[in-house]
Amino acid sequence: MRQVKYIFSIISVSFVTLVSCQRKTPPTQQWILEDSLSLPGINPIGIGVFEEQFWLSDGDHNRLVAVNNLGQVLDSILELDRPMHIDANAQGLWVPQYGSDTIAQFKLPSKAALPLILKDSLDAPASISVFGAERAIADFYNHRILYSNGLDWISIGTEGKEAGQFYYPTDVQITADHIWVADAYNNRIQVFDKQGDFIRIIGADQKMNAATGLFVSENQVFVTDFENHRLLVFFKDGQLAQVIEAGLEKPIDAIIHEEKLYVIDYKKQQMNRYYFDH
Amino acid sequence: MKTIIISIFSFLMLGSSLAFAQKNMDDFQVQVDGLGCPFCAYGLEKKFKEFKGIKAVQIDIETGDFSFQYPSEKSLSLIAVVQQVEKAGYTPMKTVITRANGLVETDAPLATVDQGVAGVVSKKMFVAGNCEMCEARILKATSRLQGVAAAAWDAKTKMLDISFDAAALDLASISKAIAAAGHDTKDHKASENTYDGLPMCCKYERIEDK
Repeated sequence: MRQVKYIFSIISVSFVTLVSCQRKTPPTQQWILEDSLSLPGINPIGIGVFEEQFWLSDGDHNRLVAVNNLGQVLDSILELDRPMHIDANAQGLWVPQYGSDTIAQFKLPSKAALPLILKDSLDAPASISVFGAERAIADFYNHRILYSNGLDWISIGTEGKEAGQFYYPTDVQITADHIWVADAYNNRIQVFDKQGDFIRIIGADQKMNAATGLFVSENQVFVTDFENHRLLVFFKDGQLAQVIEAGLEKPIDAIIHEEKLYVIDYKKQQMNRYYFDH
Repeated sequence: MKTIIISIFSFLMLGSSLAFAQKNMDDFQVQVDGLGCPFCAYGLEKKFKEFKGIKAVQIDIETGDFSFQYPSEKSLSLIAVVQQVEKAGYTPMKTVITRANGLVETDAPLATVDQGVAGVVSKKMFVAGNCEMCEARILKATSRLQGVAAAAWDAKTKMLDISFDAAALDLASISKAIAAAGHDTKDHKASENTYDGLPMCCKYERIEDK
């Protein structure tokens, strides 16, 4: 009888401790799915915002499209050759063309392509990032990132699985201090300084299956985990903040615009919007 | 008048040379399965464009229709096309060649066994893989075996559900065929060469040796 009382008291203490621990845990700040915008006939791969307008690269149909909040195409740039992860700045849209190994700039409203002249040849550019005068290109089949500080170009990485190496990089983003790379088929993110020196790996323990798209905000890093139907959110030090699965099938790129997170889905032909629950 | 005659003559010459050029090209239509990843699909198109003499390379990701034209003088065979597409990591389900002289060649699928037939058993097997392209490759490997009634593979669980005529086939043969296509099973591993030849999205985590 004494033993039964002892066991009961242990269970009671454990239960109370568990409940009190749960209560003490502050509510986690999370991104919550707000709505989904259907994009019929568009298989989006890249997303950028130019003059408050969302532009999507539609690689399957060799075009860029500007869509409104009903998913209707308002404008388009046609006859591209497999446009991938685009970028936008005040000078217009920047478009890597996977099929023709070129980067084009479009100074809208002009639809004339202005080629980015490079001394080096590309093999299937999958992404471009523009940051002030700086440029970075994910050179997919060459397993490297090309980076320019505005004056000189350097090549970062070689094919491989070690730190600082790549296995088919698909996306790149320049921030004030770093270069962030979606090292797609090594299933991880890699961070470099602007001399091209490796800093750290993010997400290697998350068993991603093709880290195809990347967006870096002020505090967080967003990675599309294409084959696992999810978006991973990390803090910049690499700590996992959230796993988003709601509304996603084949997520391929993401962007933050006016404090909302937008994730495009290649297979579902959809753009999901998430708000941050404070 | 002279100008008009020259123009008409030039037009006729251009027309006949275009017709001649088209008659000297074979048309290839390949139904490719598992084109789930745009990076791989566009890669297939890009790599084929590099072949000397190839024309009109087109790939429709949604339908999996891959088509091109190739000079008929080079007599590109159906087997060579299938092998080339497979070498690029893709799974051709059906190939049709329309030769310049009008002859049509195609690869007919094997007859399947009715699931209701006595002797048909259903089994499960772990098969390593990642994606839709892996799924297409695994199922193609099983469909080539005489005696298979039905097969389905789940990318999440990595389990293959397969029904087959136990009198014609056994699990070991199925496992070997899948490994030969590039996918590890618990009993048979794909060769390094075959694994290395898989497209990037199909580079699954290999099964460790026991």
